[in-house]
Amino acid sequence: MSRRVVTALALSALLVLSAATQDEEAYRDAYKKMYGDYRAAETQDAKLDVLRGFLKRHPDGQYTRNVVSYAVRLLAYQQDNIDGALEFVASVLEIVKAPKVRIQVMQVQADLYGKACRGDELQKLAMEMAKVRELDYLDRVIIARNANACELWDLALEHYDAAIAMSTREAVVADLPPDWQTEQRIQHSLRSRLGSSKASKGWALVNSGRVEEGLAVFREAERNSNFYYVGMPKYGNLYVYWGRALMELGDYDGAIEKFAPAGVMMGDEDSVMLLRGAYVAKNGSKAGFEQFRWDLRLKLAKPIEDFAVTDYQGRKVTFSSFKGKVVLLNFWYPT
Amino acid sequence: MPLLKPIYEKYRDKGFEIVAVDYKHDTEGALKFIEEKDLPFVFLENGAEDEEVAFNIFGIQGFPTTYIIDREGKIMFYHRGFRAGNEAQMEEEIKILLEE
Repeated sequence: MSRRVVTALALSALLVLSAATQDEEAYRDAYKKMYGDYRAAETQDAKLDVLRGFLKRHPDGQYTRNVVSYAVRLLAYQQDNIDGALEFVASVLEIVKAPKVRIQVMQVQADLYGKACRGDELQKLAMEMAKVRELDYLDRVIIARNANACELWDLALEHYDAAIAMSTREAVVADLPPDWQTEQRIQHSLRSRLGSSKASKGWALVNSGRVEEGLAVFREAERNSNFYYVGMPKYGNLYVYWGRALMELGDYDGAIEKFAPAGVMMGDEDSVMLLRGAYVAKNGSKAGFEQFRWDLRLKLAKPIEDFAVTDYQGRKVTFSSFKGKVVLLNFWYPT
Repeated sequence: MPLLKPIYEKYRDKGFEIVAVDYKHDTEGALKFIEEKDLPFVFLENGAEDEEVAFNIFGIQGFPTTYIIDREGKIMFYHRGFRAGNEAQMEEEIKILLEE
């Protein structure tokens, strides 16, 4: 190829690129303006009109999913009008052409079917989605989690198995933003996929009566998971599912072990309730629960790993130099 | 974090310390905030990108995350996130650990 041709090609590529950037900028501005109008609109109907208008002008953009989600939040979550939300989504699917965007809208649709527990429709949608493109990890997980919510265990198992098979290093690398591609982040992301998919797969197995298999998958999930430093798995409700399965089997000590890290360290109402439930099932009453929970805390309290960083004056500080004091260690995010 | 200042002043003489690690690598923003709010805590940086303590040691992705650590260096209490009012709960926990 002559140098002139190459230059001409490079130039035209540049022109296309700058045109695309301009379009993108105009699109972003339109989205911002739409969001302002949406916030300012006083009635639900007026808000929905703003969203509809935007989608009619820009059906195939990267913000389509967001805009659809606003409408779904208004209709399905604030007004409990699932039919209205589904109608909205269907009308959007009539005008969206780009496969990538269609799939994103269908993901929202799947969550609506899950919320309303419309199993037949969810099943049909899963097949429709597979016609748009080869389903990826996120598609599979969204279908599967809604199948779990609707107690369609077979459908859930089919898609969790596929999601687990897709949890490979290559797939994770392809999905991570370039500035996140450290080995540590890649491994973390891979474990989070495996841990959460297997936790939910185990739950589907237990509920379809395949209890032993389910427990085995929970053990696998535990090996694959990321954990909070204070002891609970990061994703997928693993210990909640596992503990509930053990409760069903009458293994209250086992259930207490699974509910303990969150019941003690997170201390939120739901986690404490599960732990208390297992304690009551074992002891017949809740007497002594608070003392029991304190003793568990002493048992679970983990020594903090030492680290050395610098202060803003560049002086090296080793955390163990605070030993002997009670320390509130806060990881914060300057705004 | 400014809500923790009264707690700090109340207990600092009894062997209590607040150590804040900046998750974001934003020295300028951090220093401005610290000065504006006149915060007397120990402030540390998170370490260079590849040796961030927040993620690499503690696996922290959400912020703020707070550990309350006893005199022997054990993590006794944990808070994910912070809402106004949480400081009262934290004060109770600090009191328990100081009185032991």
